[in-house]
Amino acid sequence: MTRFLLRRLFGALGVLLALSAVVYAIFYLIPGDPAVLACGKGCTAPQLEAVRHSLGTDRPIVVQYWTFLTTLVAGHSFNTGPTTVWCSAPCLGYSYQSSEPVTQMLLQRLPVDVSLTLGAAVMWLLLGIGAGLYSARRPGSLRDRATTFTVLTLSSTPVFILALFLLVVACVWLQVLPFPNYVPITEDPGQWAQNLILPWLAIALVSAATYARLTRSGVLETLSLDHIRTLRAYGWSERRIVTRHAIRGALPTLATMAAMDIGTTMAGAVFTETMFGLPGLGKLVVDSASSLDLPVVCGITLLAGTLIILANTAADVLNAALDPRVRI
Amino acid sequence: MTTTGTTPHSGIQPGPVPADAVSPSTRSAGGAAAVLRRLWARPGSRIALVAVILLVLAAIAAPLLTSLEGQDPDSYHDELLNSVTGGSPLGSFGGISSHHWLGVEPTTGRDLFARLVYGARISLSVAAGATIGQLLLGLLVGLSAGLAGRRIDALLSRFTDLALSLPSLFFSIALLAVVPASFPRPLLLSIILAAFGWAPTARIVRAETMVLREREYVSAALLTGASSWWIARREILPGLVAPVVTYTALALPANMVAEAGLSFLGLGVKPPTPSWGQMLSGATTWFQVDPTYVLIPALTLLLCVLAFTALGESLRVALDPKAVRTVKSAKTPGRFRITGKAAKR
Repeated sequence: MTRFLLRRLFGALGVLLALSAVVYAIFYLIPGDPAVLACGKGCTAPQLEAVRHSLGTDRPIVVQYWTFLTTLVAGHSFNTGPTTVWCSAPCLGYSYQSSEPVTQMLLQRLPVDVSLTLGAAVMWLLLGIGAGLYSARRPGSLRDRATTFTVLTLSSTPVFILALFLLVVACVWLQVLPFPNYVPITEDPGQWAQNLILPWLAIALVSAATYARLTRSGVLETLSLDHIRTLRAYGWSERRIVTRHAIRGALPTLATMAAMDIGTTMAGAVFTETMFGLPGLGKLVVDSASSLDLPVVCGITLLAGTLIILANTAADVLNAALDPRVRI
Repeated sequence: MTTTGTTPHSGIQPGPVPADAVSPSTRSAGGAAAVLRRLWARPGSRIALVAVILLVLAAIAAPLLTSLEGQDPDSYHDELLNSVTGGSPLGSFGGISSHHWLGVEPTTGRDLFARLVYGARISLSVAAGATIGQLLLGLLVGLSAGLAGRRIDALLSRFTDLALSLPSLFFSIALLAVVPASFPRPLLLSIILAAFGWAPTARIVRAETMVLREREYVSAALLTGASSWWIARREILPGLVAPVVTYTALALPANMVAEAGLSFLGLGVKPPTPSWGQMLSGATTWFQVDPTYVLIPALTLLLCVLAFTALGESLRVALDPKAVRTVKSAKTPGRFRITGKAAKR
């Protein structure tokens, strides 16, 4: 197990390094001159030269990339004219727009994504596993096919369309909920939950399909095994067999899938956040991209990539812990 | 493929005769007709096929359809708007009338039907371009990895893994923001979607190639001195048709959604070019006053995606009639298998 763990961690480190290189290439090589963007409108030639020097874009690319990496790991001092500012450890630079440190901006937004993801994950697991169990009880029956069809249709619906429908139905036609307006959990937990119900539901409905499918097939596979036949011979009720024993066959896959999905959703549910106006990372990346605030977009991309890679590694380790056969 | 071996080159040719006698390419001619017949046999597939054909026809005939309606996608109609509410359409259901079949857009009064059919052109062409790009890149990488020996395979497989683990939606957003506006947007969208979406195809192609290259007819072709290119093209490629077509048919609606999504975020196709994603993002501020304006592009996109997805599923069944849908084994998720996951939410 230790060897497996080490190998996975080293692999993840390698991917992280590659990720940083790709991110660097996209953000600092393609746009031509980031100094022009950073300097803003009405920038004179000597000013531009100064910005170029403070950003370090007048040095060779390899040196620039190395500085980018060391800044990320160890921090960096920025010379902003009269004073020198120290940007500490995971330093992602400063926003072109607001001059705030990017790391701080991201940390401010992260609670929104955590709230969104955890609530949605609970919902999609309940919905997905519920639907899977429901259809596994009578495979091939009408209710099995109807459930599978509904779940598949929902999962191929783009989330922004689903969100629009939810808004129109809940806020305009039925008027059971006000238009969502994010409230932090520390301020008012009731309001927090009420405003997040629709976003949670939107994400859960498009995500539940995978879980329904995995639950259904896992349960059916286990149900065909010998020990289940023995339990049936003991006269156990079918419900008890399914909920206590058959579902175990699906658990490792479900757990790894959940770990990966939680990671990717936490990295920023771009469409859901934009649709419901939630001030999370996904909304921030779109706003920053529109205003060409590259350090922020770059920071979010790096954070998202890191979260996804971590989630993948966690999923691998979880899978190996739950199912010893994959530990090779 | 009955007349093989008639390559125009003189001199030594790889002997295709024994290889072709058993290679799967002999099946492909009658195969297409058989697949189509099986597709038509299922009512669900038939509906999906007809819906897709109608959609493509509507996109191609967009100028014809709008001239039939007597409108165009770009002219403003202020006289149809209610200035008191800030420009919502006059009349019920978003101003639907015999002159404006699906009503008009709030604040501008542009004809919605015209924008919808012209938007279909953008949506379809971007999705088609992206899908073809993904297919070609995936075939190139997958075939090379599958045929070119262990070292290159290891390198390309790592590369594919890496491409799968990148947060592609964020990269797309960044690139769309960074590339100057003078570059044609639909083309840029296709290129970006292809550049970040080829990896699943490459994986499928590599895996299938690994299986196919162990077949006897490939060994036979090797023995006759056939080149790698010949083997890839004549012996392996025909065997890849079924899995690749299945995946591609499902990739197309995914690319449509991706295009609509990026345009919805305001980063894809720029105004005044009509696009479904843009209509949706405009609709978000109007859904309380004019729900019709929301429902029309949303339902259109939804129906298209569902029709294409259903067609893809039907194709999968039609291409592999042996695969009766019984208990599918729960496969453990492989490493970095997160294709398009982040883009979903």
